[in-house]
Amino acid sequence: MNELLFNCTVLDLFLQLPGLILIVGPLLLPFLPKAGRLAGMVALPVLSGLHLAWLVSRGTTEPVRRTLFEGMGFGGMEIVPVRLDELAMVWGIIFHIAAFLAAIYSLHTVERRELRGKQWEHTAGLIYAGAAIGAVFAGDLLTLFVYWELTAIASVFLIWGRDEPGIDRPPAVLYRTGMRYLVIQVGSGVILLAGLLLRQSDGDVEGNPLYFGHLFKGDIFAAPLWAQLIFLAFGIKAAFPLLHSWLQDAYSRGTHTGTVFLSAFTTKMAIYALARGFAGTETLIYIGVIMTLFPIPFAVLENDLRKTLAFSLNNQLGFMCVGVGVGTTLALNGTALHAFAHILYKSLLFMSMGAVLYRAKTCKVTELGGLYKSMRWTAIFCIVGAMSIAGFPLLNGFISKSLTISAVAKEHLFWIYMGLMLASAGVMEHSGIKIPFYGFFSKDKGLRVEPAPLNMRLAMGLTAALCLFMGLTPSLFYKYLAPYPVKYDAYTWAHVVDQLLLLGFAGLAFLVLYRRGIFPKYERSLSLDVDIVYRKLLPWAARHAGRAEHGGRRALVGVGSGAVRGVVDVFYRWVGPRGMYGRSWTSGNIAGWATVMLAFYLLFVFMWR
Amino acid sequence: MDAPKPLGSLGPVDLWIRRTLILCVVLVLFKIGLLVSTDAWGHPYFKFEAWPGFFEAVGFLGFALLVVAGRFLAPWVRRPESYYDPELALPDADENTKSAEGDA
Repeated sequence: MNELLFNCTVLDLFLQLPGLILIVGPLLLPFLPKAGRLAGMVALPVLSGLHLAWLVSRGTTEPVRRTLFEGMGFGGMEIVPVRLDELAMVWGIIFHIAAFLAAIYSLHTVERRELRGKQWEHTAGLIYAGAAIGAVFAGDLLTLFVYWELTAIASVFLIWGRDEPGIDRPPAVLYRTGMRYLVIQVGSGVILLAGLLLRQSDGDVEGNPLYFGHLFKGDIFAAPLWAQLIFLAFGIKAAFPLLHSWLQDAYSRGTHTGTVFLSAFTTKMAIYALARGFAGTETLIYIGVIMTLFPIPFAVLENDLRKTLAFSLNNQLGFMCVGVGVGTTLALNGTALHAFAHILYKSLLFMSMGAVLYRAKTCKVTELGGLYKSMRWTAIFCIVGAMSIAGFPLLNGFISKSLTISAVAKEHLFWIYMGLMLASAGVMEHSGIKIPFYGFFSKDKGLRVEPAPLNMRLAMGLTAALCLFMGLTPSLFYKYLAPYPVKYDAYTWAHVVDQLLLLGFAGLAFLVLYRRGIFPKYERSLSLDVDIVYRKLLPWAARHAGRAEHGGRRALVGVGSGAVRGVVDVFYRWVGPRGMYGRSWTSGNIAGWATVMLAFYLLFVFMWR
Repeated sequence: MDAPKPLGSLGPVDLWIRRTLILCVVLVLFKIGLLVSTDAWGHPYFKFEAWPGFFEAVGFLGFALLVVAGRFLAPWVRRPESYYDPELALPDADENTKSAEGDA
């Protein structure tokens, strides 16, 4: 793949970049007439998929290599903009499918000329998909960083985009939500940049320090700083516990079509990055199992069904993190296939809730009820998605989740296994039952709406069919899609019966708790989460610091300057003429620290705004 | 209570409990039958996977535990919708939300 196609390296490189069609092509969409936009939306993901197939068909999986800044006084940096291998391919394929399905799902908004700027939202959605595709095929950390930031910038327009009149999304609220999202997402990229620069200046790294291969395994707390920073950057986008609340915040505020895009790419791109760089990092097992459990009580309480789905997404990411942490081939296959399956059923669930939002103008439990009477197909597709995520046999959640759980059991990680079992019962609660029940079948409140538009039903039908297809033909996916060779049979009697028992008794528990009035009552409310720190506490502290009496302020300034002096002292000790970091200053090292400070500055400005 | 408690718009909840219970009992008997007659649970990673009652207990108790955890959490974490964004106050609940808003 490294030979030149044309006698022009730049053009040649561009032709070899997967996802580039989805990054450049959509820029033309807003200028096309309606038919052109409709055709473009559907054709671009298909073209990009064909382009990927063409790249693969050229036979070799040898990464594309280029050298940057050659002849600038040093040897140059070798970057690897494209690497097509089995692991990346799983994500590459599903990202194309997700982009295609989400594009079909969004077609009905193309003609809505009165929603000014709507066409740019489609553009943003497709560019976002293209950037995520580019990211998973990136073979070096610098290229990854570029795509990493592009996903952040493109996707914020899915939150800022306008939606149907009647849906309660005040522009000021959207603006703030989008800014929070942007700061956190871009901040993640800045931390990634800091990590990669520090890695470059670290003398202990063997080979090309920019190469994005396996970075670290073992205990992350004992890792070098660059590894911790990169891990943190991935962890922010993967919504690790305590770093997660951007996800629920943003995904519940996207437009009804935008959230379908959002749900597919950012977090799964981060899971890919973890699987690539941190497979076998034990800490991920514990992070993952906490991630599967902590969102569940929040999902139980949540009144907004799209936010419930965002919590449920967080819980599913936990399963994938556990798989990465275990790091055996069985577990990594589990993570890859679970990401694949998850994108399908989670898109389906977000599509069905998007359809509810579009027609009923709300997807709050307190306002919905009896919608199945007017949105029959949407209800059916929602149930398929709910059964998939809960892991009913014959659907795709079952064949993918079993892999991860078996991998955990095989390593005899008893408590982790019990945690995942508990989480499986929880998935049945928040997504298996709550979403379809409160979305469509709760007490009829007299809502009568039009069925979802045809293109939405088509997208949901296709997605549901894919969930079923994947569930019915697991061997096909284990054989051709799984990144590592695997011999696994999901449909043993033991698996099927045990899973049905778990789900059956969980369903029984729901009915009994509902009957007894123990199941929570819903009210128009939100739940506090860790985002209270940057949405209330820090702004409050900043305001009070500003308002404080003269004496108080002087004390504060005193403390502040003391703190600054302390920091300077510490820095002096570390990086001063005799400090450990002062011995060998490299340009990468300086840039790395500068980026760390930039990241803090970004946060600081955001808080004090 | 005179009228049976309904399950949303799906008819009486007692009926659904009965149906689910029958399904669960059939499944339990089926697993016991398989355990006795086949070697389907021949090589479990953990011994308890083959015990009748394990997955039943995890399903039922796990579900109940998480719901109760949610309920326990409710008074601590539930706030009005306008807690962060005053724009989201309900028109008829202006007074309530103002007091909950505090000095933000």
